[in-house]
Amino acid sequence: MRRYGAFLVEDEAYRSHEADLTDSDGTRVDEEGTVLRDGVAVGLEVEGRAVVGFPTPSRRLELHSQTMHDWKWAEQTMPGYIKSHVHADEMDAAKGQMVLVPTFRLPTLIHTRSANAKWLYELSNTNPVWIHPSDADRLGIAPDSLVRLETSIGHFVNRAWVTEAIRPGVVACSHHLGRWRLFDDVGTDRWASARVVRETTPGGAVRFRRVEHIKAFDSSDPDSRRVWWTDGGVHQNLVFPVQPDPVSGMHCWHQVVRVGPASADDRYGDVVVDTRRSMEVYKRWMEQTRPAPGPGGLRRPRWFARAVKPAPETYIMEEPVDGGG
Amino acid sequence: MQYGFVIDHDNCIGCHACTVACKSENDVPVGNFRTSVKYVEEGAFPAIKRHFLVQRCNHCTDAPCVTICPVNALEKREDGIVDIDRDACIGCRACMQACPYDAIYLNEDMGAVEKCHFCAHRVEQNLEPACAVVCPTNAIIAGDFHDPESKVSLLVRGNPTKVRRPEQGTSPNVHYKGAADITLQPGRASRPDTYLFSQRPPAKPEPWPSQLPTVKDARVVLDVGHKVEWGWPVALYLLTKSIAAGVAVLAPFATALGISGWRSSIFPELTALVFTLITLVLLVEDLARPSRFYRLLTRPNWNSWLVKGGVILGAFTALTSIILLLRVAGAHGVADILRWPNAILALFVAGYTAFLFAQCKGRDLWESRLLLPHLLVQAILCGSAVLLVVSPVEATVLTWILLGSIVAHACFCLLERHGHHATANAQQAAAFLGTVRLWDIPALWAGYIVLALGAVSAISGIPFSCAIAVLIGLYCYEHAYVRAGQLPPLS
Amino acid sequence: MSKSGTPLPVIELETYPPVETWDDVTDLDPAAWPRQVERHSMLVPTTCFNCEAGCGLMAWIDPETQKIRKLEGNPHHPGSRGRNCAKGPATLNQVEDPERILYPLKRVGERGSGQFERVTWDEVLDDLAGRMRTALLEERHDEIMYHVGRPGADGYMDRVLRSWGVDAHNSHTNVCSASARVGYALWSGADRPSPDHANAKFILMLSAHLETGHYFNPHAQRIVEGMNAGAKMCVIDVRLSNTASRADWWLAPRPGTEPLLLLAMAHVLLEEELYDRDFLERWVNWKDTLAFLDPEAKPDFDVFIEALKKHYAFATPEAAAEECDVDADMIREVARAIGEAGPAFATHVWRSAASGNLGGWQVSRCLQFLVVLMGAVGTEGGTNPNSHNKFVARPFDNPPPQKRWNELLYPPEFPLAYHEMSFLLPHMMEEGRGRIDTYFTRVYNPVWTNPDGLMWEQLLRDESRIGVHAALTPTWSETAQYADYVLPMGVGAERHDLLSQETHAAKWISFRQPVLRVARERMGDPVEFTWQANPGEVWEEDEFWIELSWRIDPDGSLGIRKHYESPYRPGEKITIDE
Repeated sequence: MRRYGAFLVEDEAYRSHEADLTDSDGTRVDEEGTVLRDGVAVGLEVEGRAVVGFPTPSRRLELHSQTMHDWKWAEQTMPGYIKSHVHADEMDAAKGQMVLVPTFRLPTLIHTRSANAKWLYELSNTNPVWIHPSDADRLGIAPDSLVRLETSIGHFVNRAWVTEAIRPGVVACSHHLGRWRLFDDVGTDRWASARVVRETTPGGAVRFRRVEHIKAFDSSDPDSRRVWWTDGGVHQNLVFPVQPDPVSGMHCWHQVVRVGPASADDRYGDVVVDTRRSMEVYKRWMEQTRPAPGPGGLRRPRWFARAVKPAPETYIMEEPVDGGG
Repeated sequence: MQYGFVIDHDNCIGCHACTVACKSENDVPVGNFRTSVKYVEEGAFPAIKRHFLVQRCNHCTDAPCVTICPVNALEKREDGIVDIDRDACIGCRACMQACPYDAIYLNEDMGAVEKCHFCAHRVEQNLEPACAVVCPTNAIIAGDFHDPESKVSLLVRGNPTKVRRPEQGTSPNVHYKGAADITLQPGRASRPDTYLFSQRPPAKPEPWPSQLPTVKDARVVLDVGHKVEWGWPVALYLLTKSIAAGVAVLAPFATALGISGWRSSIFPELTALVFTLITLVLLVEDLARPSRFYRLLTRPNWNSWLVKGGVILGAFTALTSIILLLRVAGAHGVADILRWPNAILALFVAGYTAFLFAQCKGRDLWESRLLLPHLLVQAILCGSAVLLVVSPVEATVLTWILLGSIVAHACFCLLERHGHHATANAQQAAAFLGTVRLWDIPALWAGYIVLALGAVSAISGIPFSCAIAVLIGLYCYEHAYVRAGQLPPLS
Repeated sequence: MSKSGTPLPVIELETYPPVETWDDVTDLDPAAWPRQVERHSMLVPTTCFNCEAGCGLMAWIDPETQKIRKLEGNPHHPGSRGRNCAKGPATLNQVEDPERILYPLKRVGERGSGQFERVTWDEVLDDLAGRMRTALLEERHDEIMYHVGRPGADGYMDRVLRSWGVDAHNSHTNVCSASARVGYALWSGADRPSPDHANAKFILMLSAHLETGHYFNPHAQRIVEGMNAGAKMCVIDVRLSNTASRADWWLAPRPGTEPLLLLAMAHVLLEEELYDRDFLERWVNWKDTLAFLDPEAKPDFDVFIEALKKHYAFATPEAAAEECDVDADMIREVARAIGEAGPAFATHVWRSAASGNLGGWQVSRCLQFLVVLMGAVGTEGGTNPNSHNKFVARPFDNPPPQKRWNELLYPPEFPLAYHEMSFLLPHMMEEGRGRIDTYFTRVYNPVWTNPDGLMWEQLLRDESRIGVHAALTPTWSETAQYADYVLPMGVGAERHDLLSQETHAAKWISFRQPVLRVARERMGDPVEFTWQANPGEVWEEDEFWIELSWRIDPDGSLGIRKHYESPYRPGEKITIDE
């Protein structure tokens, strides 16, 4: 099989929830048609046939989630709508606040692992901030001019890509780009990274400022002398505070940002961050959480997936948590 | 057979897999592409679309690159593939001017041009081109258009398809299904200074001439760059060749024009010879592989006006040398008679470039019918300016010839710049003619002004400054003309 | 036509040389062309490592120089079917990158000072193994952490970590897909969707799978197939992606309002009776739901439907139009088109709105609601739970689960998180929640990738909080600048992994293999370790972990060593092939 590199295990894999429950030893069927073993649902009876169903506590698709209910989210058991942290109510358009969508990807790059791929970088080497002409006009931002995007912990300076291809009120910046290195000889590949200096501003924040664009360089590959692009884009993630979703734990990537023309002291590629404010934002988001233990003193619902699942007894919390851990 | 592609833009997702697979298969140097994907956005939010166009060699049935190549390095194979023999190529880049699709680039390491050759090395092994194999959505279909049952033939028969720039008469063999018109018409969509996720390659820095109309809300947002391949050596070649030809054309009339002594007998041929040699040096030095210029002789393509021009220049050099030798030998009578055929030869020297430029199917401005008479006028202008230097002050006929030439040249300039041009490409080039700069001054205007100074000098009887002004003024124009012709986008 | 007048068969060109010839494929050297210079290549299949899709690659290897000439696709790969995106062939750049780290490096100056020296793999292994042994002996198990950005394999690392008895697996999931996973998992227990685009009649995407994302290339192939067969597509995205540009409907709602937009479609499906009644009755926990919605109601399906309509009465297209800024008629139009597609309704959300917003897990929950309403779960042209279409191989010897719960990974504040609260590590450590002695990052660049990267930079520079940081990486990164050890690991063509992904309605397995090593084996010149065949001393993690584990427990007293003994050669160390 290694000769072929890959093989098909099963084709046309459909309706696997209808597969027969092969191991029916010690099971019983309750009045709802649920197949139980030791009180735990292991399948469903459908038209007189025991089938596996879905790997949920009810073996059914759960429109109402008792798990959510039991774990202190009673108002969120059904598919519903939670107002986002970037909801219009949270923003002041008069102050130039907009939503930044910082996550979109390009067809040609790989997260942060393509700095070593010259054929990809010659195709994709900038990540300007997409902004609709109506917003650009309102904020006094000319095409290609420098813009400053401020978050609650810092700001970055990038170029404006004034475009009809985005909804008004939203700015967007692709990820992948804005790679940097501190040193000439080691650090992110020179195909892709600008050299920066790390400085402390008079206000005590940290500023990364570009001191050298991408440029052609000598190497064993003659193509490195042919590098014609100089930009490489701007790093944005540094200025995002952590925003953990209290349920999923997801970092909520969208940012409320204040968008405006760059100031006279701003330089393309500037990234300024004040980590003293980082912890404040972190604590504010942590206040939204509803900590374990859940039912039975558990750390986590047993049926939830967990990476490298530990022994069952570890699920039981030894002592209640008082918030700070 | 006629191999070719159908590019199905109903399927294309603009992912650039073809671009990179081609680079890998053919080891294409960074900055150059044998195939690439252009993005064009059209419309306003929310009614906006992003269109793609996969661009590469069209393996034309009537391939202008094959016709112009002086050394037969480009070949239309029996299977229809237009292939390049890089070992044979001398790097004159005429094919890059001939190609209406910007499909050819110069591999600077090799000093030879390259382009999509349908992965001929794979086809020999019965394998599809690398781009067709990699395409995630089967948007690139390769096959034989002469086989009526091949996939490509069926696609073209069963669907509306288009080709790029059909007006160029090349009969392209890349057919586009589902491509938006805006992507197929170079210059219709505007081009911002930067692109969607890439810098714009800095190859052609000239801004888009403001008088050229573009479609509202249509922008090219991703494309590769193409360099201006012919620069100052070509502009200077036009000038030196005009000098050489001009003095030789006027030489039979030297005495009648009031020139006497050695100035009349030796100077014209000596000048012609010197400037012809400079012309030849410029031509050879501008090759990417100058040491291979001899291939013009060893493997000539008689359809190419580069070869015909070379023969004309060679014959002119020979006859001019013979005339000079006869003078040295004292055989003035024969030399005087030979001036007449040499003058006719000189007209060919001056004018053959019109036929060469007409073979540059990628440069519509250069295909203008005005070019031949204009080149002849330029030769007379240069010849009269140079001869005026060695003429007596009262050489009024020559002065009138010069002034007449200046006026005629200016008329041609105005016609090229403001006259009617049939194609969009020529119209764009004509507009660029007004914007090209030389030493940061608008070159066309510099040319007008300096030539006017030349005219004033001539009238004031300062022949030396007149000649200098005429030559500089004409160079300004040649620079603008050569560059502007190459500035309009072909994609 | 032939001379005799009979039509000649159509001869189309082939895409790949037949598999029988792969040991010795003759082709013509493109560099010499048009001179026809024959050359010989050995073709070795492997798996791309440049995203998680696991597409097939085929290395063309020069048997003489033992160099990779190019990487094409693998025609026998069920997911990618011989086709790739731009990132597949670009793997060659990564192999040949002149900037590449070829040997293990050890920091010599201060952390982050950019000064490194070359060391041997033995030095690296002995130092790290010694530290880890001490930590394990001192019961400081939670001070060992393995933090992976791009896993690229299924399951192998779980086994290694379990053998050490540590709860140490940290990941990148919470900056990537945690919310989408929760929304899906709450429905069906499976945390990813596997849409059957090729057979769909309607495709609803909250992502840009014609150009990016998991699993862009395999999905793009099948979306286009589906659309060519008549499927309609709606894309919900705030910006015009290439995918949105190809869609029949592009809806660009206010960011964060996507769940309401989807609920409005559900509202239309319910009100206009377009849902699959039998499916809901059979497979959905409607009785529990009804008991929740109306504890007094009798368990009757029609009553349930009425209760459901009442519950979602607020989500009218007009209300959504107001909140989302999307035309109400268009919402109705899309919903009705979904209704027409019936169970052939394929959907996907991966990152995008789900990853962007507070409560983003409701995006996938609401999207899957539409799928469930249409009975499009696990159907032809529908949306499978990923567990249907992903094959997970079982290792030969599975150590018992660890008896520890590391609260730096799963802190009590987030009992429902999918998964580790990776990106909060510096903030939690700033609060004094723990210390790390030995920190492995693997294909992970938190300084750059994670939010608040400066907190990571400060953490990684602080030797009192992180004892030693070994960055296992195929390429330099912002994070590697701050590491104590920079350990070069192979790219897709230089390592072993087993991989399966839910790219479509099938299950497959793909082998990632170090192609130069395989080539040498085929030529009768095997090597002991993959780094001996790779460029420089670029290793692969799997062998690294075996060697490390072997040295952590030199005498077997920690009970680790036994998990790395050959099943065939008792007492001896297992090899990667075994």
